[in-house]
This record gives sequence, structure tokens and C-alpha cells, in this order.
Amino acid sequence: MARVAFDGVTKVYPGPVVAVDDLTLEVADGEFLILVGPSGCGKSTALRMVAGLERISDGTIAIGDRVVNDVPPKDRDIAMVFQNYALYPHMTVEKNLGFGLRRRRTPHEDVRRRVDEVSRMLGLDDLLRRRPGQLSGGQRQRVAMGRALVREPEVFLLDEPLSNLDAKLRVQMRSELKRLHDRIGVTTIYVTHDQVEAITLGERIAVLSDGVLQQVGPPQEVYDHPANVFVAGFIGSPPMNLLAGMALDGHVTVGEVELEHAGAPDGEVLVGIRPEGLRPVGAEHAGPVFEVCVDVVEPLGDEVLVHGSVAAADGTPATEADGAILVAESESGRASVVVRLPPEDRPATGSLLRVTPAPNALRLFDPSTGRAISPT
Amino acid sequence: MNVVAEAPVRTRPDPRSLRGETGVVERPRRRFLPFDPWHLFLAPLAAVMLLPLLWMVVTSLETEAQTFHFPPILWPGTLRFGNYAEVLGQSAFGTWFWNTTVVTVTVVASNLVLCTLAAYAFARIRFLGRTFVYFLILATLMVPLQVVLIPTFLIVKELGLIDRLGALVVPNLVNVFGIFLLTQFFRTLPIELEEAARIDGASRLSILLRIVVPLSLPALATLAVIQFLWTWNDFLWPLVTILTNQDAFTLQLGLATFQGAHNTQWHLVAAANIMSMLPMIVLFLLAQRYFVRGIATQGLKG
Repeated sequence: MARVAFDGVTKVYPGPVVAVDDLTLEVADGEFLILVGPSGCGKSTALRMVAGLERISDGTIAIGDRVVNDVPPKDRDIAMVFQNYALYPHMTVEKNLGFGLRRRRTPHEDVRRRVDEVSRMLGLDDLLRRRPGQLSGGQRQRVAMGRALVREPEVFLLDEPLSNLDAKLRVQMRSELKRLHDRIGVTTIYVTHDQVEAITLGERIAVLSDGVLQQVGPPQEVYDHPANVFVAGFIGSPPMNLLAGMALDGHVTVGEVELEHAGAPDGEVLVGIRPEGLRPVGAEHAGPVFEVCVDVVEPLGDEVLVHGSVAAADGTPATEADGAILVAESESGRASVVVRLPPEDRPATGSLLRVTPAPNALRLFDPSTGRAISPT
Repeated sequence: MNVVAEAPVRTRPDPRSLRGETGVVERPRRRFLPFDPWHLFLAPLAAVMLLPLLWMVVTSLETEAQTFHFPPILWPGTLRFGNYAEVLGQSAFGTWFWNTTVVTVTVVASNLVLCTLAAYAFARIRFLGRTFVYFLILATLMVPLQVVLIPTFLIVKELGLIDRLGALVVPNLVNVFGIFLLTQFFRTLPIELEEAARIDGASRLSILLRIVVPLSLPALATLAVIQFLWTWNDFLWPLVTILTNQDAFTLQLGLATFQGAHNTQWHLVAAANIMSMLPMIVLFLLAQRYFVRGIATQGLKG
């Protein structure tokens, strides 16, 4: 096993297009790290550079203590699972699993033993004589995992391995993956665009956007304390509500609501509140109250998502934000918000829902840079 | 229970019945005819195509007198195989057949090997001027045979190959069409398969032999059949280069000897033609199953 260290890694494609920009990141030995970001953010490119499938334009990647920039893929002691699995269609499952070992001139008995071990571990014993074309999606996925496992690599690279499975299977494979990692403990880098996958699977997640690393940290920390409006909008579904406000003397004013928040420098701010950070309150509530005009109610069984609007300042601030999804569009002095409620609190469409921010639910961002304003 | 008992025993699961197969689901359609309506159009067309062949078969079984009968006899009363014996006995058919086989097999084999190597380089390996060289090579496809006939003849003559089988082999060792066909096919193979193999520790050559070639059997079979047909049936080039040496005659040159200036022995021509066609028919039947779509995408996502 080994750590993987990116040091100032940059990938420029002819064009020039900067796919990965000065990425510095260390994946600890045995860690399960998730690279997450929207499509085209450079996460797959970063992974492929570790695999040796893309040349590194600048910076270094080290696996263990060895800089691998010029080491061919086969000598990096890594294994990769591709998004489309890339199983060899003309070989049986057994041959697929053993291909890498046989290329390395592993003795026949060892190949057989390890193929047997891995196929038993993944429940592939009965499928060894089949070809990929005769397997279901989940089975192919498992074979792809097996082909990587059988080599007992130092580092495991997974490129959106679950994205081709149906929703139910994906959830199942997700927990299987986690169990597998707990068992074998190989350093794993996992690329996904699915933030739910990222939060549930990773020990740490690294959020990328436009080739730039936005934030690295344990999932809960990234969720609770997003480093900027991009992360706030990308991690969490539905995303964090962002409202334009004005900070003055330890108070932040959003529309007509005055919220207490110590440590914000005076001036314009973006106020972020998670959908579950807004709690319904009765008419007698004394503290700050947002009156949400309920547009759409989405019952999800265990919870209800309420889409509505509140009074807020005009204008769409935040420059780094990736368009309208992230920052609440303020038109004619109203901004849209989402509130997550328990099903028994489900409001009627068109009604007025009174909510108040939970303690510590407020996150402030600088509207010009998009960065989080840390409480001082 | 009976139904279960009567169901055919399958040792392997039918791939089409499994999930994840991308094959088109056949829609049950209402049948007015016991066959596909297309057959009404295709069957007569097939008959038109088969007629000359049938006529040739019939002619090969006739006497010389019968071949000139009018209207032509399309169903002979008796089967006379004497013409075949006569062709085999009176001409050097065996030599011609052997020469043609040697030339064709060599040319097909060298094309399969050399076109594969060149095509893989053009499809997958990045090198300076790749596109330029590729188009330069393709451009030679636009040059008609008549234009290069004499220059090629002169080259072959310089090589001292006139009147020898080498004259038929050397200029055809690589066929640009084959490079083109295979390059385009290789480009359609999912690159991830090769990347996976690289990570698995396979060398370039190993990837080519163990991944690319097995997945390209349909294209290779197509190339083999086309090249076989061209070489086997080629008449002009052997006519130009095999001048006097009867021992180096190919089938097509030999067949031409049955046609004299004053009379043609059609019954013998037909019999010899049928015998010269047999290898092609056999090859076609053998390679046919590879013509159906490749399996290259079956290992990918479900």
C-alpha cells in the first residue's frame, strides 16, 4: 500500500485547455478519497494521470515515495476500474480476471489461486466461464472490480464505477464497495460526479471545479462548512440556500429579516442556509422569521422538500458561482429557497410557511470572491 | 411440466436472454404471410443473380454440341462429368490451381499481417505527420491501375521477377484499401480496453495481438475475403507479367487458354471455371459468420 501525492499537478490539453490546474493533494496510505465535481471539472483527468494514461504537463505525482511522472502504467502498481468497465469482450470472466497476472508472468497456480479467491470474495464463482456479453450490468461491474483486486495493487483507481448501474444496484454496490475497502484497506481514489456517492463513501472528499481544487475534508465537514459557494451549491441535495444580505455590526440583514451573526465584516454578504437549517415556527415565535411563499411541495416519504421564495435583496451576487443553480436568483426582491421538513409539517401549496434558521446554521460568503467568511 | 421437459437443454445461457445485452428486442409483428414480405422482392432478385451461375453449372455438364443449342438448355437430361475429367487431364489445371493458391495465400497472409500493423499505428500511435502520411497513402487509392501498370511492371522487371510467381506477389504484399479498412475499424474499438490492458501490463504488441486482433475478426475476415477474391480472380496483372513461362500460369491465365481465336470450348471453360470458383465459395462460407457484427462492445457497460 502507498500514499499518493499530487504536487502542483497541471494538465494542459492543446487548445490550450487547462483540465487540471495546480492540484496539490495528498491521499494517505489506505485512505478512501473521493474526487468529486461536475462533469468536465478535471477529476477523471487527475485520476488518469495517476494511472499513467495521461501525461502530466507540470508538477509531480508520487505513489509511495516514488515520483511516477515518467513511469509507464504497468509499472505503477495501480489498478483501475473504468466507467464502462472495459472488460475484454472476447475473454471469459476467468481470463479477464487473470489477464493482468498472466501478463506479469505469474505462475499458473498462483493465477488460479488468486482468481479463485477474488471470485469467491465477489460472488463470481459461478460466472467464471461466461463472457462479459453474457453478464448483467452488476455482474460486469463486479468483474471489473475483481480484475483490479486480483492484482493486489498499491493503489486502486475507480472512475465513476457505479454510474452505469441502476439506482437500486448502485446503492447496494456502494455499501459493498465500502465493506470491501474496510476489508482490504488499499489506498483508493474514487472519481464521481454524484455528491451523494461522495458523501456516503469517502473518508475524505476533494471537490473540484474547472480543474481547481475547491475543498478537501471529511464529508461532514465539507457539508457543514463549505469553503465557497461552489461547494455549498454542489455538495448537498438540494443545495444550500444562498441569499443576498448585508452585514452590519454583528447583524446580517436579509430582506427584512435581521439575523445575528458575530464576526462578519460589514458590507454585502451571501448568507447560506442548508434546507434542513430552516425550522418551521408558529406565529408567536419571537426570533427572526422568514416567511416562505410555498410554490411547490415535494413529499419524499421520509421528508418533504418545500420550494418557495422569501423577500431578499435584488441582484445575483457571487462571481465564482456556477450559474443560477448555486445562487438564488433574486428577481423583484424575492429569492427562491428550499426547506426540508419532516412529513408531518407538510405545508399546503400557496400557503405562507414561517421558518427560522437553526442555531449555527448560518454560513456567510463573500459575494465578490465566493469564499466562506470564517467567523472570527 | 411437459413444457419444461421438452425445453432444449442448453449448456450455456443464451446471451440474448440476459440483461445487459444491447441487442434489439424483436417486436412480435402480425403475420399475413408465412414469410417476411421482403422475400417477395429479394427472392426474384436472388434468382436473377443465380441464373448465370446455374447456366454455367449446366454448361459444364453438357457436350460441346449442346452448348450451342438454342434456346439454351437450362436443365440437362443426363449429368456428364466428363468435361471435368477432360479439363484435369488435358490441361495443366493442377499447376494453375497450385500457382494461384500459393500466390493468393501469400498475398492474403501478408496483407493481414502488414495492414494490421500499419493500421494499428495509424489508429492508435501518435507520431509526427501521422495524418499527413495516412492521407498520402490513401491518396494512392485514387490512382487508377492503368496509370501504375507500366511503372509497376518496370519495377518488377528490375527485380527480375518477370515470368515468376514473385511478380504476382511482391506488388500486392500490402493493399492500401486494407490499411484504410482496418484503421477505420480499429478506431471504433473502445480505447478503454487498450488502456485497461496497458495497466494490466500488456505491451503494445501484446495489446495488438491479444485485444485488438481478436476483436477485429470481422474486419480481418472481410479484408481476407476481399483480398482473396481480388488476387484469385486477377487476370490483367498476371497477363502482363507472366509472359511465356507456362509453369507460372495462374488459373485465370489458364482459363483463357480454353478460348481460342476461332472457337471456344464453352463446356470446358464452364467446368474449369466451376473448379476455380470452389475455393472462393468455401472461403466465403467459412468467413461468413465473422461478417456479423463484432463483439467488441459487449464488455462495456450494461
